Formats: sequence, structure tokens, C-alpha cells
Amino acid sequence: MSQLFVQDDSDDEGLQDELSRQIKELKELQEKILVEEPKVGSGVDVVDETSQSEKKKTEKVEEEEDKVLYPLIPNDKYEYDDKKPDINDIRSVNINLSLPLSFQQQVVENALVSNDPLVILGKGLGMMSIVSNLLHILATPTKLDGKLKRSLVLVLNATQSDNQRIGEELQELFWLSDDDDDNNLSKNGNISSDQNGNENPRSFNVVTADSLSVEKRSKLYLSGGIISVTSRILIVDLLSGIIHPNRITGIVVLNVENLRHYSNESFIIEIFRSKNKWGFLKGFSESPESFVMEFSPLMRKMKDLKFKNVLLWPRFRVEISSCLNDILKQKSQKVIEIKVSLTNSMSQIQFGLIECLKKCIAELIRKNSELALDWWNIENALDLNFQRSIDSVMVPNWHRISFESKQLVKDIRFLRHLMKLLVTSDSVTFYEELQLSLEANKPSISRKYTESPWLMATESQLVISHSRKRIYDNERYQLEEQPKWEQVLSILEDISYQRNISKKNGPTLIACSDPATCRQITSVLAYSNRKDGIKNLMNQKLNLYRYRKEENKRLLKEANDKETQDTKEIVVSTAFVKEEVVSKRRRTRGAATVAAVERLRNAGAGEDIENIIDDYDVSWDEMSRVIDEEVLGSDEYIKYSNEAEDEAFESDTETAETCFSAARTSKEVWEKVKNDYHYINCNDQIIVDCFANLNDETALQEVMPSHIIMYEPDLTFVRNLEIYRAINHEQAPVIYFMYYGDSIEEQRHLTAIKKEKDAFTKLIRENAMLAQHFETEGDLSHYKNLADRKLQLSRLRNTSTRIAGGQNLLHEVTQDVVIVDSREFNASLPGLLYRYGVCVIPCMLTVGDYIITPDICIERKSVADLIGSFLNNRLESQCKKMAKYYKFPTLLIEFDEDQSFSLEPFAEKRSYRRNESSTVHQISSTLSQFEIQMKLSKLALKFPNLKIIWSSSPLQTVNIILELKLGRSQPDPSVSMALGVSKNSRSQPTSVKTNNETNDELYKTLLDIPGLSKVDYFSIRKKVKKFSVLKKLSKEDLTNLVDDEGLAQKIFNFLNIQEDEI
Amino acid sequence: MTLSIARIKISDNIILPLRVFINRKQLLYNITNEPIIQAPLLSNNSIVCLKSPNTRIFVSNNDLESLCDEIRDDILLIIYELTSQEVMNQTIGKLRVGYNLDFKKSVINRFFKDDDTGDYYIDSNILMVTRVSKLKYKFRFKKNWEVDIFINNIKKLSDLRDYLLFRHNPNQMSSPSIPINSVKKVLIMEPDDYLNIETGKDQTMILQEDENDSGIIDQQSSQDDDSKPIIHYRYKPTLNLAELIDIHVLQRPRRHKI
Repeated sequence: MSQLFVQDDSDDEGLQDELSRQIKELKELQEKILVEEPKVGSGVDVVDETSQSEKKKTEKVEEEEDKVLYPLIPNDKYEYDDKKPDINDIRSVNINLSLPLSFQQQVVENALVSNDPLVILGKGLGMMSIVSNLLHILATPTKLDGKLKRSLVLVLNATQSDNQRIGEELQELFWLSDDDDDNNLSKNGNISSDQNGNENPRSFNVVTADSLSVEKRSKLYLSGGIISVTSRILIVDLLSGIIHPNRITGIVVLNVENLRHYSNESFIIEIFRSKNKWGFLKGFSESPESFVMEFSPLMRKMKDLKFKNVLLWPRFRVEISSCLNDILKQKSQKVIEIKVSLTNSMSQIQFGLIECLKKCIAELIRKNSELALDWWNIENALDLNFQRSIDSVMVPNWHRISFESKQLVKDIRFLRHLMKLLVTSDSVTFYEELQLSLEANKPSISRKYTESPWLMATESQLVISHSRKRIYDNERYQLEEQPKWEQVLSILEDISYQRNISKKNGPTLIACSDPATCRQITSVLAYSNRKDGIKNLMNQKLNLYRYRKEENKRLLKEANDKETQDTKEIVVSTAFVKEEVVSKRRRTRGAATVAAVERLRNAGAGEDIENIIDDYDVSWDEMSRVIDEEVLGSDEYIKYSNEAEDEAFESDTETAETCFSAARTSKEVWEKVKNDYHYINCNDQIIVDCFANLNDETALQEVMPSHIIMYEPDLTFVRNLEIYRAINHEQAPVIYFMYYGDSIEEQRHLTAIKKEKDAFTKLIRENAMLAQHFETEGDLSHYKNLADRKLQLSRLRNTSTRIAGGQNLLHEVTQDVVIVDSREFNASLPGLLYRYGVCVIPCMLTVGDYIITPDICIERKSVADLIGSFLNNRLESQCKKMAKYYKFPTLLIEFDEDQSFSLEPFAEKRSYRRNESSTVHQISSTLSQFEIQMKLSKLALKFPNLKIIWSSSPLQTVNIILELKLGRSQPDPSVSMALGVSKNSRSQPTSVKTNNETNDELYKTLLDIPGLSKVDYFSIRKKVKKFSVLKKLSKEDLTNLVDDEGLAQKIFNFLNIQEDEI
Repeated sequence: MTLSIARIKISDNIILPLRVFINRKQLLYNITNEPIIQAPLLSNNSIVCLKSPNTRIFVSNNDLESLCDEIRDDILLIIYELTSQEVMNQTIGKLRVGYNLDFKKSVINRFFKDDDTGDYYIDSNILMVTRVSKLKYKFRFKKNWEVDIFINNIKKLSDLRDYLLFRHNPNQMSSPSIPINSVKKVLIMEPDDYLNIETGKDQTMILQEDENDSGIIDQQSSQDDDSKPIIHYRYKPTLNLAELIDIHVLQRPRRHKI
């Protein structure tokens, strides 16, 4: 318990043994590779053999593949000359790394030599710099025929900040790299220096959604280097032949833990591996916990992404712990732990919350015994994934569970939120949050269920009363301060004293968990120098709360007024109207009794404190605002500028505007600006930042703090600190580690440590059990893609000439084609289609998302999308377009696998959308179920030939599509692309479609007949397929057709006139 | 990684961070230590030899200060003047990607010459400006220090300029949004004059800039040693702007002038 900060070695000896055994095995394997080295680059031979055999194979089956309408992957259009490897081309390259710690180098080496590894690191061990160094090595140019050739390394699934870090690190590595490489490159003139003027052979580029056009992308791919690309774009590029898998040197996948099943990344790797056997594949993850959640998830993920080895680097691995702990022994640099105890009220509240949470969980389990997991108990309730675990079980069944259960799920979320708030925010904010919930739960006529279940528990009263006590107790305002504040201030005082006696250079860093806490600490520090500064701060908070409350009341009143305005006319006898008794006498008879009753009534709901707050002395208000403006520039607090002021300054703005456009500074202004300019001595800086921004050891390097205050415990940050300290052991920073003793905070930290350790333990065990997996290339089962398998099969049959009857079989191999809008690749459906042997052709479609036959056009909508496009009427125009160009316009409503197959949960206020489906605004997802249904039926009425497909998951959709395609002809991408582009530029319908098209168009002219409704139109079309047939019909036949003599006459006339014209 | 951040105060409570990188290619040209590992790259025909130089270079606080003082005029020029309509439309904005421009000739002479006296009131040492990409510019600065100043996003810079110019306009609606950086907060620790005077000691001297890093201590120790000095600090919150400007150090001034 006393050692919260440094997590020591694992005490489980067996585990250590197991890990080292695995490491040894790996090392032996590596040595084998290294021994083979003198035989001359075994790798090189492999490369060319495979590529040659590949080449031969492709040549051999060239004609066959030509028969296929579209190959799955477009063939490489750039001729690559297959040269024999020249032994002289093999060279050694010196590469300088920028990794300061020995274990980081070991990770790089390990990842480099092992075959397609998945590297799982402990949190905060500097993954980004490891990855960047590895990328730098992997992107070493190849020498071919005495010329250097850049390699192409792709980075997948990198976040924006990852990209930035990698970019900076690579630039640094470029500066470090030996010159000869680059000189060679430029001398040979192989690669002209790009426009940036840098000749880095390992240039780093980021390709995102809108940054580059197709031509630029293809140029970029050809020029090589390291490219971080969004998987959606890469898929489109791979499928449309902008880049051929064989040209990719290798792929590095980051954040593997985030990849879902059937993700785009696995799709990409599948394509990559199907054509490219020699390139490398490396995966990285920093979150071991997510590999142990389901049933043997490690194996599944490895299979999915085709990794062959697992490299585990937990914090307790010997290399790491020796590296980080040694420094500890050398210097007497100790972490200073500051255990702050909770105040009495806080611990009471904490106790109450935990009890309530316990009861809620127990109740939830009791109510849904068939769904509940054993894992749901109070021990795990502090875990970050707890809510997610509950959601993942409850959401798919949302339409089946009772209202109370839903309430319980909601309450558990709220209680966890309160728990966090208790330790992070101040007493007023906590009270406000609580009060808001109480307010919402006040019984009213309109609601059947009055209270949240947690309020039923007796302990909830404890929470409520103590949170009030923190504000107001014994007829005095307490406004309890957070105990940590005082401590932080005294630590800072300490630090400033230390600075005076020792030569420590660097700013002070305060790290905390979230931006709100950042703000809080900043304002506490800012107020600290004043007399009663913090008390003022709290008062100000209280005022702000009051202001907000009044605002709410006003709003409520306005709303009520509007509602009651109409009903006000109803005259009720005055006897029944309850009015406030206004009396001029100070004491009314019986007033005491009335007051007593009032008090009684309010006692339960606890209105009294609210009133007290309302009556609170306003004098603070003025004072605090003055301080506010003086101290905190602008962004922290909302300023309520009144309108009069606004007007006054309007003229000012105008003059400023004129000055602005003139825009040349005079000398005086310049001097003034110059005077304002100061360098801030880094010793004087106090930087407050949250963990998320510091979760990289480079972030700490940037700041180079000499004193670090950890305001809250955080596992990743602890590791970062360890690494930072190990690197800077000459100038080790002083670390203060603050936490509330015996609190949820402490417990949460301990759980996090334990969970990571457990996860690694599990992973090590699973890795030991993992069967070794080998595959021969000729193995057909290797082709998961059914179409590919079929193709291979037919090839095999073809080679054995004895099967004479096989001719028929051969011809059956036609390729299914689906044209997919290139914007649709965020969904998993295209990838699944590909796996099921359908050739997916990405196109920019104007009409529809998927074209599966020349007649069937599908618009896919996830439910959230559906609601969104109902709201902005996009769907209607989309349907209109589809109906215009296709015979069977189809709306596909697709649910997710882990959603419930019902509209109900979406109708409820909380959104369960995944973040990726982005086009919809949060608020817009609040259509009620009834409304959705109404809109859908409206749509169906408006477009009678619109087909609607409901699908519970992408997998089911694939089945539906395949069924629909059975026996129908394949769509033509050029036709579908041209459709709907714009009326003038629409290309002439091709010969195949002429009949259909003209037929359609001729039919459309029918709509010009006055009095002919759409229903009539469609009934005619339904009964008579061909326009030419319609023309030949007599007037009687037409009357039979439309059941209306007048209309039939009109149609008959119309048709005859038209004939004359033609 | 050798990135370090220099913070400069450009107005009363506004801080602009500069990110300083060191191009240490030259410095590490001759690394002689043995490679730590040799391995063939399977996807390649090269055998890589990895080396790990353990040298780390930082810019010290003093150096950062001298650097920041030296580039003061140019930084201010960049912040306040570069994105003004006139300059943008006539020179900087017109520059094509990948091309250079003589900064002195085409910008300083044209815009920042005092019409009457004919001398420059801006002491600019930028030699050349290069447009690296659509929004990114590179300025080559050379005086005692030799650095490249990168503007990562000229659009954001112009937002910053708008903000700085209209900052005092209390009409929040019309003034441009603040280009502040995420959540990072910076407070400046400074001795609290008010309280210090109250405790009977005149500490105003401390506020003066001192070449010595630990100026405060020295002055403290020079005072009477009997009583423990009590210094109250105040922590002044500031507005931390976005990181827009990168500086790549190419050459440090010589330590001993010949």
C-alpha cells in the first residue's frame, strides 16, 4: 500500500520463468536467422523467388484471369522488371537510433527480427518513439542495380497525435542519419528531391480524407517513403488499383486494440497478404487489457490480422525493470508521496455512494439474472470498462429489459460519475450535480416512476445530507475546500524554497486527470495569494450556481407561462385559488402554524438549504467579480456583458476596423509591442496539464520540469515519469505524488495496476498455449475469399487435362461484381462482401451507395444515419434520384451486430451511436419510435416502388445481397458512375440499357397527362411492361387498366398524338 | 527528442510558446561506437546495423533566453505584421509553393521603412522566406544564432493576429475566437509585491531581470542572514496560445568571442 508509485517486479516466479522461456525461444529463432545471414540475405532470395514464382503463376493464368470481368485486385499496371538479385547489391547500412533507454532498443530489435509480430507493451513505456525508430529502420532504401530504391511503408490506424509525434521523431532521425545514403540517392538521380526541398529517403507523409487527390496519391505511393494513411482511403486505392499490394514494402498497424472484428484494417491486410508474401507486417498495442476480455481474443486478433508472433513487454519484464529500477538504487531520488485524507463529510459521502452502487448492481443482477455477468460486482465497479461491460450486454437487449433496469443502468452511470466528482471537483459543483438530479426526480403528475432507484436506498440520504453539510452547516456557510488544495499550495511553497537553495532548472509541472481539474487548480493557485482567496473562490462558485439556478427557474417559468396562457381564462371561484396571503401586518394570526407546516413540507425534500442559498448575501458578488476580471483574462469564466455596453463599443469596433485595414504599424506602436515582449524564465513557470497530453515521454522532455506534482494517480503517467527519470538521471526531477488515502481514487489506481498485471499474466499463459501455425502456399483453405478459392480450384482442374467433363465447371466461374460508393468504405459491409468473393469496385457514385445489378440500387443507412437523414430530408432526395435511374430503388436499413434489432433504443434520448457514423448531430437522434415509423411509411407512400430491406447485421446484409444477385447480370461501373452526375453531362445510355432506358423515359412522359396520378401511373406500369405494347392498346383496354373512362380517353389521345409526332 | 519549449510573453497575460528543435546532424556526424545489432531486413536486401548515440542535447534556459531576445523583432514581426492584408496580398501570399523570396528586399524595404527618415525601425534579421506548403512557411534567420523559423499554419497565425489586435474589444461576439492551445495552463510564479511589502521587506528589486538564473537567491542571501526570508509568491494565470511557430536551431553563437 505504501508503494503506490513504483510498481515492482512481479512476485510470481513461475510467470517470470515462463516469460523468459518464451523470450529464449524467440532468441534462438532469431539466431537461426542471423546464422543464415552469411549465406547471403536469405531474405533477398525469398523475395525474388516468391515474386518470380508469383510472376510465373500470374503469367500462366493470365488468359484465364482475363476471362473474368474484373479481377479482385487490379493487376499491377506498372511493369516491374524482375531482376536477379545481385550479390554486390547487398550492403550494410548504418542507422542511428534515438532511443535513450536500453530496453527500448531491445524492443526495436525484437520487433525487427521476428516475423510479423504483434508487440504488446505495458502502458507508458514510450511506444511512439519505439515505433518511429522502427519505421526509420524499415524504410531503409533497397539497392537494385547499383541504384537505391525507396521503400514504401504504410502506417495504419494512427491517430492525429500519433502522426504528429511520428513525424517529429522521424525528422529527428533524419537529422541523425548518415549522409552517404542520401548522397547516393541524389547522385544517382533516382529520386529527385521533392518539392519540400528535403531529400529524406524516408519522408513521412500523412494521407487523410481530403488532403490529396487521386493523382497526387498515386504519385506519392510511387515515390515511396513512410506514409500514414486512413484505412478507408487505402482500401479504395487498393481496390481501384492506384496502389498494388506488391509495391508495398510493409505495413505497420498501430493501436491494434481498437480494431474491431471485420475492420477495414483486417480487410487491407488480407488483400496485402493475398498478393504480397514478402512484405513485413508489424502491429503495436499499449493496452494488454483489451486482449483478454473475450474468449481467446489474442488468437482471434492474430488470425484476423495475420500476425505470426506475439512479443510481450510488461513492466515487470526483466529488461525493463532492471533498466528502470537500477537508477533508483543509484541515486537516492525518492518519490514524495503525499497522502491526503478525506474530510469527514467526504468519506461519509463516499461510503454512501459505494453502498448505493452496491445495491444498484445487486438489483440490476436480480432483475436480469439471465443477462448478468459474474464480473459485475463492487470490486470491478471502479474499473474503467465497467460501464462499457454493462452497456455491451444491455444495449443489444435494450428493448427487452424493464424500465427499472434501464433506470438502474442510468443510475449506475450517475453514481460512478458522482464518485469521480467527489474527489476531483469542489463541494459546490458536487452539490449542484446532486441537486440537479434530485430536482429531476421530484415527483410530478406526468411521471409514473418518480424516483431514481438509488434514491430509495437509505444510504442515499447520507450522501444528500452530507453534501449539504459541506455547503451549509450549523447556520453557517462551510463551503468546504478540497483537502488537496492546501497541500498543493504548501508543496509549491516548498518548491520555491528548494529552488532557492539548490540549482534546479526547469518549470514546475502539475499533472491532473482532466481539463476541468486543470482549470480548478489554475484558479485555486491564482486566488491563493489573496487573503481568504480560496474562500472567495468558493463564494464565487456558489454565486455562479445561484445564477444558473435562477436562470433555470426563469426558463421554467417562461415555459409554464406560455403553457398556461390559454387556460388562464377559466374562472375559478376565488375560494379555490390558492394565493399567497399578503398582509401588511408583520405578524399574521396563525402565521407560525403556517410556517411550521411549510417547514414540515419542505423538510423531506430539503428545500431549506436552497432557500438559504437564495438569500445569501450578495456583497460577495461584486468583490469576487472584480477579482475575476483582474486575475483571469478571459476564457475561464463566462462574462455576462450587458447590451448597453455592447452598443457603446460598437463605434469603437468600427474605428478599430479602419485601423486594421490600414495595417502598417507606426514606430510608437512597435516600441510598445516590443516592450511587452519578454522571455519567461522557465523556473518561474508553473504548467498545469492533464495526463492525456502528457502521455508520451516526449511531452515531458518538451517541458523538462524540475519539479512534478502528480495531483492524482495515473498508471500511464507514473510509467512516463519513470522513463523520464531514467533518461534524465543526472538531473532527476523531484516528484510529488498526491492521492486521497483510503479513497476510491487510491483503490482505482490499485485496480488499474492489478488489471494490467493480470492481463499480461493471461497473455503470457495464452501465448504459451498458442499452437504454432504453418501454412503452405498451395493450401486452398488458405484462401478465405470464396471466389479466390473457386478460381484456384478451377486452375487446378485446368492443369489436370484428364478431366474432360470439367469444361462446364470452368465456365461457371464468373465474378460477382458490386459497385460501391467510395464514401461507403467506413462501413464494414464492403470488406465483408469482398471476403465472400464479391468483387468490390469503388466508384464515386452520385446515386445510391451500392449497385448490385443494373437494376438494383441500394442506399444503405444505419439507424442513426436514417434518423439524421429523415431530419434533414436528405433521404427523400436520395430516393427520388434512385427511383429516377433505377428500376428497383432499395433502402437498406442496417443494424449493428451489437445493437438491438429494434427502433426502440434509438428513440430514447441517449444515443448509442458509434462515433464513426458522423454525419448526424447528437441532438438529432431524438426522434421517437413512432415518428420514425411515420416517416418511413410516408416515404413508402411517396415512392411506391421503393423496396425496404431490414438487416440485423452486416453479415446478414451480405447474404441478402448475394441472394439478390443470384442469376442477375453484373452492373457496369461506367454507366452507374455517369448516372445522375448532372442532367446535361449524363452520358448516353449504353446499348445494353437502351431498351430499358427509353422505355423508362417514354413512360415518364405519361406523367405529363393532367389528372394522371402516380398511383395510376404505377398501376399501368405494373400491368403493361413495355411502352410499345401500351401504345397498341385500344381505348377499352385502357379503360380496364385504369378504371376511369375519362382518364383512359386522355391517355389514348396522348399516346396517339405522341405517335404522330414520332 | 530534443524539442524544448520556450515561452515568451507577448502581452500582459498572454503567452506564446515557441517550439525549439535542434538539428544535431552536424553534431553527431562522427559517431564511432560499435553497432549494437546487425540484422538483415527481410523485405529488403540491406543489412542494417543499428547504433544508438546516447548523446542528448538541450537548449539551456540561458540559451533560450538569449535566442528569444535575439529573434524578438522577427517574432513580433511575424505575429503582428506578416498576416496583415497588405503584406499577405502583395508578397507572402503570392509566393508559390517551393519558391524562395528575399525577405529584406521585398518585405522589409517595402513595408517597414520609415517614410520620412528612410531607416528601418524594425531590426529584422530574416534573410529568406520559403513557402514549404500551402500553409507552411520557412524563414531563415541569421545573426549570432542561425535558426529556421517555421510557421506551421499561416491561417491560424492570422487568427492569432486578429485576436491580439481586437483583444481589448469587450464586445465578445465580434472579436475573433481565441486560438488557445487545448487545456495546457501556464501560471507564472512571481513574488507578490503587495504581501512582501506588508511583511516589511522591499522586494521590488527581485522583479528586475538578472542575467543570473537564480537571481532571487543571490539577492536574498545578500540581505541580512539572521532572519529567514519570507517570500510570498503569487501565481499569475495567463493565456497560453497555440503552438504555431517551430524553431530549428542550426547554429549556436560561439561561447567565447574572439
